Amino acid sequence: MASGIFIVPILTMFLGVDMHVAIGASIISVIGCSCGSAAPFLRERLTNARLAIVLETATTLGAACGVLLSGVVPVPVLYAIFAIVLLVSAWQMRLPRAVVTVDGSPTRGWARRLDAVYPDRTLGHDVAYRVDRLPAGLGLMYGAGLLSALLGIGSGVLKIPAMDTALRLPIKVSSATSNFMIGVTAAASAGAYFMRGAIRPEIAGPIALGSVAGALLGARLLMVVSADKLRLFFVAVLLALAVQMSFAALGVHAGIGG
Amino acid sequence: MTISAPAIVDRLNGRLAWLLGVGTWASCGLIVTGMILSVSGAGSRGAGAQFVSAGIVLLIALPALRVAMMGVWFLLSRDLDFALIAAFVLAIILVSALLGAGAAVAVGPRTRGAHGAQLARSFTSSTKATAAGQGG
Repeated sequence: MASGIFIVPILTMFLGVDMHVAIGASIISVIGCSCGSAAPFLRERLTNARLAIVLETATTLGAACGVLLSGVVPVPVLYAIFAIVLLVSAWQMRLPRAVVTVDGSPTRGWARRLDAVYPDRTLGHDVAYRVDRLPAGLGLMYGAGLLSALLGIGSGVLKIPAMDTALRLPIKVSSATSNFMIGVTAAASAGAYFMRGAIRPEIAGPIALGSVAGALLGARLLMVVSADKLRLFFVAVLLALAVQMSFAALGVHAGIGG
Repeated sequence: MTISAPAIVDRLNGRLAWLLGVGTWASCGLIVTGMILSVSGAGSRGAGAQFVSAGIVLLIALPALRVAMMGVWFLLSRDLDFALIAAFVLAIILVSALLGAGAAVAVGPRTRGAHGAQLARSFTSSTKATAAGQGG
């Protein structure tokens, strides 16, 4: 999980790979991670495929716009913006979440069709959940798709808080569904980067293999870890990434001259 | 008629899991084969790279295939609004890829090193590939 975000800095800063080639390799790893870990989530009914396809309209539109922007926006600026976004996400995740209560109000119109049930292993029974504030969720997903295409990351770290705080999904459902969506979002930009020739087989190939291997391990882990531990883990990852991105913004600035 | 009936969800999810699982393994198989060919020098270096490229293309196409499968599934189960949404997502993915092809930026020339000729052969016309070969 969230492996894509490490690949661009490592490739560019330590291995001296061209920025666009690094983004191309990273976006491939995002697809590998998503597809490689999807099966167990789907079989466990944690993934809400209907919700995913609705939100994917926003993420793929964002990705298409990100592809168009990718040649225009300076990369250091993007790293700086992203560091801020990560900090905000970490803050949101850290706050104690309101328990999802089933109030008496009837569910609203079309979005009701996205409501579903998932089996919670730690509780030992099925839990019904509903989808709140779909327009806000779609807006955030558009932003996530944009950043995904621009930076070559899955931006699962953005999607998970979006689904948690806007759509108010149970965290296991939001993790599984956002992981499911990442592949489609990344494919929208990866197709474009491939056509541009920014995806180099000798770099992207090994990275794809590594991401699939990592994804298989990560998915097994998510099944058995409790929701609270997962939450703590995400906060830690978000904070670490924010620090890393801040350094990258400054580091890339300094590195351009040399 | 309840759409969130676990049995129906299970069947769609099961098929999607199968598609993504098989696709990922096939893609990894192609990439590993290509890497082994490249390292061992069994085939020419180009053959290995082409296997790796094929694996990467399959991996990129896999999510699009998944969306297409969902679209067909929704269509068959008379879920027309979701079928339309799936078709819309598929269209965006295709348009995005074509936009990338149209905006073929300066990445090619800048990364044209040892592998430049191979890249050019894959992505541009044959005349351009000849020119790159002469340059390198």
